[in-house]
Amino acid sequence: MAAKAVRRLLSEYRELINNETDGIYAGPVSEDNFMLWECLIAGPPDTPFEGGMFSATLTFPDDYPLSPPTLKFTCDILHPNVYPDGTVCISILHPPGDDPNMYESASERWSPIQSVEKVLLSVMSMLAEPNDESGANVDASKMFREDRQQYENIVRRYARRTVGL
Amino acid sequence: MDIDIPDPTDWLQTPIPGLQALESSLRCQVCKELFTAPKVTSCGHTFCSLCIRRYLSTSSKCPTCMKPDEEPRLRDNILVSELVGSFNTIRKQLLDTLRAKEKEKEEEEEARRRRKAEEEEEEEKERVTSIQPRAEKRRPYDDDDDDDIMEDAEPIYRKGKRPRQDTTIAPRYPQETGPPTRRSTRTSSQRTNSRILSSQTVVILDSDDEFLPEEDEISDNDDFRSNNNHNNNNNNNNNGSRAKRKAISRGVPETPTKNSDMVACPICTRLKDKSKVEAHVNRCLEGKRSPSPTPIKATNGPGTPLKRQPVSFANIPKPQQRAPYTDEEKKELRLPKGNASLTKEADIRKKLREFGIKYDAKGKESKQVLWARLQEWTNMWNANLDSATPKSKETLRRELEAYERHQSTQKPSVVQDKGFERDAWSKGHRSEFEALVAAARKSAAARKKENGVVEAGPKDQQLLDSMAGVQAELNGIDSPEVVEA
Repeated sequence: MAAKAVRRLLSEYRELINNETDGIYAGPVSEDNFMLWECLIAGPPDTPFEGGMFSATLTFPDDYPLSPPTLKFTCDILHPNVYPDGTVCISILHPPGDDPNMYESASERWSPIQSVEKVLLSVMSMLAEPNDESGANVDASKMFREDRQQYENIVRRYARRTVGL
Repeated sequence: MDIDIPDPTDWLQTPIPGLQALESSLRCQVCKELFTAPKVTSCGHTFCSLCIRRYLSTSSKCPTCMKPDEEPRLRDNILVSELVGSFNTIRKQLLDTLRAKEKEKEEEEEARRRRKAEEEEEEEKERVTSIQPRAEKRRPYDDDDDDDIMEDAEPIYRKGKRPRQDTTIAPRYPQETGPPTRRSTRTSSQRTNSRILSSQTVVILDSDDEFLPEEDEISDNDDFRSNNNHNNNNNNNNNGSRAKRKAISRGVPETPTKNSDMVACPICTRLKDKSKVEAHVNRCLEGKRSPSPTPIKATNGPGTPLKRQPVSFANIPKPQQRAPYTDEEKKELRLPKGNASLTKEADIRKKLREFGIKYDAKGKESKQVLWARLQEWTNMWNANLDSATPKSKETLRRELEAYERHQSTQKPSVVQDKGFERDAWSKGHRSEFEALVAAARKSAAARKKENGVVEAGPKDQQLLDSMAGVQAELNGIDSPEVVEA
């Protein structure tokens, strides 16, 4: 574990506990490995995701914060910008160097001044406003565009499942 | 992992939570620490020297606003450096003072609440008794009043005192261990006594002899009696500020801890908070019995930025500090970044040798690795020039090694298609790889025959080896016969 990354993560963790943001809960899985976090993201209100509690893991690279963490949902989720395996595809998690979709502006990409809190907030707004132009999950994108009703039904079912209903 | 990392959110629990914003702006947004050798970019954003140098060597943009920038355009931010220095000098003291104040306020509030509850109870009782037809009504009024207070005063002491010791006083002095010592009980009871008395008005004072001895030891009583009416308030204040001073000088955290959370240190047998006992034992083992009671050394003036407090992983003896580099020295010693594609591998090696940095002499490290090492050294070296407390070359070398160790677990980034399946590919093309290796082996053997054994170029062997390596890697199996051939 890189000492520098761990120090920064500790400090971010303290800030998260002392200064709670609604709908976001995150913390290291264990004290032995500070580079792996677990987090819960509440489904944003007035969307089909409302009421759900989506669990995800955050994995930090050794050169964090130079490189971004990766975020992967560990629950079932249907979303145009989430790969079928749960990995989130969102501009804030892409380093400025590589642009898989060739159109993101540099300002919304990862930079060391971003933080766990900002990443999770972006994911929350991503849930509210999917970007169907850069579909990570092509089927979901297609459904989102062509059969919104079915998309919302599935999303609602998954959201209920996350809280054990 | 109980390392106390100072954090801007520390201020949220003090009477001035606004200090959080102040401290946040004195911290680097990249490493979240107080600025070390702050540098300002051409777009006006400030970062630690090392943080911004590292970032700029991966991408030439400002991390905050993404405007293009490059290293030579960085400038010292002298004002911020001074601000951080003076803030760091007072931080602990300020935090402790504010926390003590907050604590005092809470205690007072608690006492007031308790008093109010008791007064209400008293009134209630009085009302009940006054409703009952009483013969005592005939007695003169003030006599009666005095008695009433006397009767009620006693339970107040009991109620007011006992819980106090358990919840607040004991954790405040965790060092005073073993059986809750006489000394601490006495002072605390004395304090509570006088505080309660001062608020209960002076009426009781004339008749204190009657009940005090049952409450406390005689000596207490003596102390107590010396507190005259007019002295009372004064004394109260003294006690308060003494307690505050104590709390500050010991650096005891003000958060109340239960007694069950205290663990005796195996060396000095002092009771310690569970979370802190490990650090304390380390200190004890090193022979530093008592943690330094003076929290801050005011040796550095406000102008000189302090060295950041090291993490308490271990107390590494610091090598002798040298004075900050002068501008001329900086200019002379500053290392240029260079260009990876224009620098030959041999030159990189030469430079590494000059700086005394280890590298694999057999050439097993790729140019990329060597270049990354030289870059990191350049970053560290240049950042060290900016530092107010420069480190020695040896320390820098050690830090470079540590840095590389941490990075080495990372896989080198390989450019690959997203859907590319390595295993399937190597399995599917296995026969082709084998054919290629066989052909290479054949041609190598033919050339050997042609030129005689002596001239069998090492290059061919190298080629064969590397091809075999590729095949082995792709197939996921070791093929020793190929390597031997």
